[in-house]
Amino acid sequence: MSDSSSVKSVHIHIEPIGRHVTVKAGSTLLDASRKAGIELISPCGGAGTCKSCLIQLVEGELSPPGLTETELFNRKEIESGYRLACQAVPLSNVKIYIPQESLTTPQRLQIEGQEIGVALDPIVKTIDVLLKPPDLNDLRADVTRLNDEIHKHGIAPARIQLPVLASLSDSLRAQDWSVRLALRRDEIVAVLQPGKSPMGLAVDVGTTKLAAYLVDLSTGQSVAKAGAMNPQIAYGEDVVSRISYAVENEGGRERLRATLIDGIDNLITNLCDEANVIRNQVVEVVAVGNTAMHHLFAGLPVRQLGLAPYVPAVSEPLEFPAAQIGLDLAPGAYVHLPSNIAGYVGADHVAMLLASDIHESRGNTVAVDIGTNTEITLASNGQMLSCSCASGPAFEGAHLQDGMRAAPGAIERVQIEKGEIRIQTIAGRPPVGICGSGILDAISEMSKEGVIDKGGRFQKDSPLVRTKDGKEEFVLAPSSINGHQRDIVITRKDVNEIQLAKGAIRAGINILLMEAGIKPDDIDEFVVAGAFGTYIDIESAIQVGMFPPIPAGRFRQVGNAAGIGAKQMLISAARRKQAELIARRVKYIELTTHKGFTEEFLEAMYF
Amino acid sequence: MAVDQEYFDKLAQTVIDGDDEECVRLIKVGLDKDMDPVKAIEKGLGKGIIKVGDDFGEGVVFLPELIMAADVMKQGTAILDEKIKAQGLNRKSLGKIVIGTVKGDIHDIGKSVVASVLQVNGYDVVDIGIDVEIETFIEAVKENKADCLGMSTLLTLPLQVMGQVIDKLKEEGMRDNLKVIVGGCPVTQEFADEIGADAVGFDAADAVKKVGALLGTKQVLLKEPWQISTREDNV
Repeated sequence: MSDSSSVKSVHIHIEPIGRHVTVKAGSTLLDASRKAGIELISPCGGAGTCKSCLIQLVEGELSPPGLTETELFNRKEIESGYRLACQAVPLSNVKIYIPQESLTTPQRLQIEGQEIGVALDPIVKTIDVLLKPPDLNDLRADVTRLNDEIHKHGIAPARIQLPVLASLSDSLRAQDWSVRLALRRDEIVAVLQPGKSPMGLAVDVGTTKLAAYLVDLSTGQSVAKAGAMNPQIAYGEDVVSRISYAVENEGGRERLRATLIDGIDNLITNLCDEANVIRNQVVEVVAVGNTAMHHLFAGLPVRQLGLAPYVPAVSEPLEFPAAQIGLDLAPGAYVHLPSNIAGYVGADHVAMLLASDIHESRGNTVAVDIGTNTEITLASNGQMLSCSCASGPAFEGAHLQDGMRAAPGAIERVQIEKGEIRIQTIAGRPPVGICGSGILDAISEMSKEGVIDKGGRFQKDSPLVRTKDGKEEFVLAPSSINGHQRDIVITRKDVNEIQLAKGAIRAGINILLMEAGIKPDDIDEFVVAGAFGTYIDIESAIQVGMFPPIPAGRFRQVGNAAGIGAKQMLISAARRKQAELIARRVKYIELTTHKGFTEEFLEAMYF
Repeated sequence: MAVDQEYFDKLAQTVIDGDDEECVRLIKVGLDKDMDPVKAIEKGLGKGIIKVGDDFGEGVVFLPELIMAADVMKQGTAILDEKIKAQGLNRKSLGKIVIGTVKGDIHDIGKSVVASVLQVNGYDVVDIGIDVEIETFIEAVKENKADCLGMSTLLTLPLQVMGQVIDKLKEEGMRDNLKVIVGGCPVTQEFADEIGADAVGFDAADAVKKVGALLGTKQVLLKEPWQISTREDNV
């Protein structure tokens, strides 16, 4: 598109951090990342010999790989866009993806959550059996022998699928006829060594992040947890662009599925290493995610999710062998995908509702999960109403002049007192940009201190407002104190982005309250879930008008409740059933076509 | 209160402030004093909406202010139009525009904002809603004898519908006498060129400017938004 010789500067979009930077043509990607305040590992000092500063090209054009790179990478890697940041020079505007291992400090990924006690009642149970070995007088087949033995335990003959059967005979003999059988209802899904616990895997498949827990199904305890970016991010930042990728590119849907499974597979390796468990022990998977992630994970079509009226291919719970989607676990392991509610309210929200137990609450409970799409549910008088609002990616740092995701150096807390600005960054690093909780705080303080007015207009007479190129802006962290020698600022456009985001969320809350015929003050409990929701300051959220002004004591920040809900469904068949009932009970309200939405949305954009 | 410059400035201010009650009150006061309704639009409401439109374009004000201003403007002109009609006159439209969100998308707000802003800038706007089928666009353009067609979407998959509508317009031999403007989050200039649209409106203010340029009404729009003609002229 552009003649590289005439390009004076290029724009670099860095994923998964979500930073944007403009650099002089001829700079390497390593220089560009440094300028953006992102440190890549480069022990060889940029000589191109160590493969540490590995990056992947997503979009745009880079200088052709040099000799050092063609030696380090095989053809497949080069074709996949793998390059060394210290060698590659952008020839156009580019989008790159930095794998976790190339970053000096990993991104903050939230995988904790408040757990609530659930009685252990896993769908996969074990029995230990000791078989009498065959001899010339006892020629029963291995499976017959097994069934005869488990019959003594009061269990009817078990079903056994080919992949399990394929390893059964060898396992029996290798373990001297003493085995622990993992039984899923009436099916043998794994033949374990005696004393080895059956393991379950709970995965929260977010559009941006993956969180996975390895759970011991005999105790119900998590033995390891791990988080990573969803590697699909290289094919589009949000659900809508992933759907487009899947639909508009040949093999796109399959590529997205394979990429996601790869990412989950890496997590499984890490989890198993950490807990000293072999993959064969993992007998059951519960995965939750928004409806698009759910479909892409299972390899289902997504076109209908990208077009009105946005209906899922399936809303009922799904169960299928893990091997069918390429997960390498116990030979007979199954995947359980819980119900979703609508095209834009997925099983992750169902899991969150389950974990928060809001279906059992007596009074009026609101539960929100804030993301690019924010799902909101109101439980009131036994009825449950849900909606989804397009809050946009501003709280993930996207579309903001100096926005970034929650990574080291991100400004996460802001206070303005008597004209003095105080900031706190993640990991205490010099400020690089602003993440979601930081921008929320900043806008809240700016509105409180009169830097912006009700409509988001900068007040020219405020000493904290300066004019640059005819536009007002607020300097949050001057170049003198930050990590890249450029002022970190908040512009009017940034304020607008937050107005849209918080306006959409508040309008969604208001519409549900209206539908249930109650007022904000009638809310007895307000549950805030998700990574962003955990780190935000509730007072800031109220100050900007994102949440209704109810006493702080009624709010409950629950962390990654979706992950907890998934874990509960892993260790309890009863919870699974409950999740299904919740999804069936919820009434979905489509906001876009709701007659009151526009007015509420506009009103809620004010501060 | 005399109907003088100060009065018109106040009227303009009600649009800027989004104060519909004050706007309606002032207009009634003015009409009681035999104010020329045409002047009230030209010197009062029109000035106000142009200011808000410019401020929006420059990022000084945002969506709520713009929409509220458009709403006040609509209420005010409705009263004044009635008076103009009663005097045997007619306000000439700057052009007829059909606008809608394409099939596959039900997002309403962006498209409605553009419709309102075009309308208060003197265009005759027919908003045919959301999730609009290709055929419905064609029929609406025919039926309304539109000068310009506006299509919107917030999503990427429905983008292709815009191209299909343009192809269909060509097929029906309707493309030459019609200007087509597209808009919405995923729409780029590159995309518009590719499907053969005449322009992209990147926001409401931009859409008004581009439509003005397409229909040759730009100058009129920015300086004097309201053209008035007698009924005889229209016949």
